[in-house]
Amino acid sequence: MAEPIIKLRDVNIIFERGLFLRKVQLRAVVNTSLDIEEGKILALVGESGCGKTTLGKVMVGLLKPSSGEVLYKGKDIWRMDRSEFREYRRNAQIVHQDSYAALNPVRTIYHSLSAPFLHYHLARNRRQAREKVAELLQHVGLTPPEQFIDKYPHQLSGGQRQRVVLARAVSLRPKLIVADEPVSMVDVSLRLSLLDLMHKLNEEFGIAFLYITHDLATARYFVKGGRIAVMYLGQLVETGKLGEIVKKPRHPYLQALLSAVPVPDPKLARTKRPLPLRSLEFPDPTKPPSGCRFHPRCPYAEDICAQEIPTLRPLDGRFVACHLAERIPEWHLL
Amino acid sequence: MTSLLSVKDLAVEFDLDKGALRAVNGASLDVQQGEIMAIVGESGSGKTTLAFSIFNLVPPPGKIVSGEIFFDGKEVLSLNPEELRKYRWKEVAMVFQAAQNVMNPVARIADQMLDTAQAHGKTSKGEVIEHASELLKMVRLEPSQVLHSYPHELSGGMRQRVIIALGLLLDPRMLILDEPTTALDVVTQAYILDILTDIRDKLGLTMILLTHDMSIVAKVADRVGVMYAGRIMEVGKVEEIFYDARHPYTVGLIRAAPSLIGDIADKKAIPGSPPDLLNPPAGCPFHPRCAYATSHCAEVVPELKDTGGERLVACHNWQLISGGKQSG
Amino acid sequence: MTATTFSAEIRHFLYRSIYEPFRIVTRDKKAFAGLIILLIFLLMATIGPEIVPLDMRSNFAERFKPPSREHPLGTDYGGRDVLAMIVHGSRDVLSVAFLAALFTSLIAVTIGMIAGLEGGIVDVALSLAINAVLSIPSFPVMLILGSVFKVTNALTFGIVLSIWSWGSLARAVRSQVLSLKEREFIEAARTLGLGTFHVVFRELLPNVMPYVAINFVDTMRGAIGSSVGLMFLGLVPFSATNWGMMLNFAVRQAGAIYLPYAMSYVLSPMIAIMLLELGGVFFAHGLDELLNPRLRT
Repeated sequence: MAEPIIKLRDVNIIFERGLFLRKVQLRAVVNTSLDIEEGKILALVGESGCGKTTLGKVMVGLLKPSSGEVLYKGKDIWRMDRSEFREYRRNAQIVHQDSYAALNPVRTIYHSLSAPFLHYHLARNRRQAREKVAELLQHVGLTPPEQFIDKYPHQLSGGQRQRVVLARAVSLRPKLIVADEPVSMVDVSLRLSLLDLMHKLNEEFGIAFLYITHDLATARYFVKGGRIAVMYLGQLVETGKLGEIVKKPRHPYLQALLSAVPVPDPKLARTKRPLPLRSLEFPDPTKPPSGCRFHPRCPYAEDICAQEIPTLRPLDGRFVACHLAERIPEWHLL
Repeated sequence: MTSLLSVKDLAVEFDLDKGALRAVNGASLDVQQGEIMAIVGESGSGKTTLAFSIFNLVPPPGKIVSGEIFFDGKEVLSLNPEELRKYRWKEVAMVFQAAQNVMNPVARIADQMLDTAQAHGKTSKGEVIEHASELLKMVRLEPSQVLHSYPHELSGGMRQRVIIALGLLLDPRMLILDEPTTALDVVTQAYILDILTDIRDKLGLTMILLTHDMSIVAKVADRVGVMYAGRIMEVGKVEEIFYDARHPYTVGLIRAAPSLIGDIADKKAIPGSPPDLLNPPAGCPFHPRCAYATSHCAEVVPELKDTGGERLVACHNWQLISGGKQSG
Repeated sequence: MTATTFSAEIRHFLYRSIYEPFRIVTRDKKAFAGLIILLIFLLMATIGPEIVPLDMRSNFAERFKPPSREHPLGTDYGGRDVLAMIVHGSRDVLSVAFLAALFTSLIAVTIGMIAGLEGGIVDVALSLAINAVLSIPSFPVMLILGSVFKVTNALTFGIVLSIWSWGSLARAVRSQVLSLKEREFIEAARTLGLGTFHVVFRELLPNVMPYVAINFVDTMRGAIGSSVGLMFLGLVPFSATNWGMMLNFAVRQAGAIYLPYAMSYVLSPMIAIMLLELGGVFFAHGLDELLNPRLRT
């Protein structure tokens, strides 16, 4: 197996809220380790507030961990010198959820896309830059390029904008793209085409993707044979090959999640029985439960769950963070 | 059987500087008593404007330019202000999109309930609170906990359920819900959808559910109306729509809906992009994206016709599509 | 870089910062009226002096004459035509106001952007400066500055006027930068490694400029008021046709307010100033409506 290009080791992110005496700590990411393999796709799945976006930002170096390491080619990015860090920066890009906020509203598409080419001297003058931008637009399916190149972001549709954002992320041929909910603000009929495009970029340029989402169905579509990591309240609860994990999840949270996701098939949608959780409400992240953070809602929780934090351990071909994983009843997605 | 709600050829136009935008362009729909009708459409489909029209609350610069809406025999668009006040909230109530975020932040839930009730003439505080408590229990909330709370003390899912209870406070006969589960996590979403079917069974309430998510439709709808570019393209029972879709857009939507089960290779996006409502395509608005389109489709707007068994379809070539296999 | 793409760029920029806002503003009737008034004064300042001749020679036989066909606004204490003085004075008034607004904008943008971008102690220090400038009333400060510095031309006058007026604009620029700083497109510029220069001049500045351009008229209005006030008080003996100076002479030195038939002499500069300010206020009213939905930063 190839050496992973980015490795997170025991990363903790602690945010502080409030002023002066009433400071509260929010551990958004707790002791998390994760590998991104070269050219592979990994889905990071969880619901809002679970820390997945924060983890994505750590991976592209926008956020410095409170503790732990972010290793690029074996070296901690926060200890690199300027030129090493520059090389890392070029190789880790981000695609945001809101394509309108991700583009400067007062700059044309040409300006937003040509900036990296001109900055890194990949194009020596405006004519070359325009050519390169046109080529880039074609790569992301925005043809003919002349139709888009001098427009402003608000003149494009959501799907088109997101393609521009993707084009920008790809322009420097990075090794990794962190895509944070890239299709949630795009019309449903177009989502799959955007995911197909990302797949094409993955295959054509060997770019690894970290696909962050709360939508398991699109994760399944995008990841195909790849891996998935599920997060709950700042911790990874289950990781492994997506196909196996979705068919037979071992962590109770994932079981509850999968049973709650509706499917576009009336007969099947109405026969699934949800896993009864003890509480619908997420705990306050500033006052997380002791031990396993999921235990207050878990229908199988025992004493040990409140006492000890479970760590990811290998089981049945994947990794699960649950003390009782072997003993809880099996759950199948049909 | 006469429908509880009957929308006939509704057209709503927005007068913008760039031109006139037809958000709803000749939409017709019937909703029966006691059913959950899902109106599915993407951004620009016109479903929210349609809902506002049923409620007779289209915000300016929009105005209803033609069509009629009958609720229980009464024509809604020609009611005078007094009758309109009785109609809104007492006969038809609406849960707006992201309503949970626009609750009055400085009023407790109990007070918000009382305000609503009193604004409509119900003055007995005790009765209102009792009724509110029953409704809160129906949406699986604990009244003693919720009534005294402020909105920010409740989670998003709880607030959404409170909004639903508020909508039911005056015992309306129909409830319109616009994307009631956006911004909620999957588990809460499943819970709320269960609550909606519960309410339909226990109260015999008629509901119109607006959504873009085919999976939600599959889970709760009794009947489905598919909307595109301001028109209703197909109507039918939920199984008919999913297993025997007759409109290419419906087929496309189902195929474009990713799923946890089934073969990924069957899934495909709909080519093209949503229509520009300021300059809609001639003829059928879907034809630029349609695999079955002919030159006839580019010229003549298809009418919404009954193709047998109350299956309404607006497509010239529906016979080519019907009988094709689609699975979730 | 071809000439066409460069000029297209300039055109785009001008369109978005000036033409488009103006077009939107003119939909508001009040703002439109304001714009017309301002344009009239602008015409007066630019081509007026070419059309209306000014004869500054004294003709005491004609002094303090009321309005007539020969002198539509009467004459001053030296028998000179008031209308001609108003027209010629407008050039000075507007150029001083323009320069003052220019310097104010430059200072405000620089300070606002540095404070917003740097954060930390730099921001704290600059915010303190901004607050000081805002809390200490500017007119008294300008009085002091006016009497200390020698103001000889429009340029120096403009500088003096701008020294204490950049506070509110700087604060607005700072808040805009603070909110833009966290926006996704700035994050993207960071991950692409584009550097601070790029972020400041190519990403942030184009966002801030429309706001500054729109506030320019308002800043000019403030400068007009201050400049007239200073000249009226005789602190800045600038040029005789300048309206403030006209008022100064009229009221203080010639005692024209005691002469009923010389009313037009006293009132003309006052009304001119009032109209100009009114035009600015009305126009700014339309700007207000424009600003809020547009600045969705």
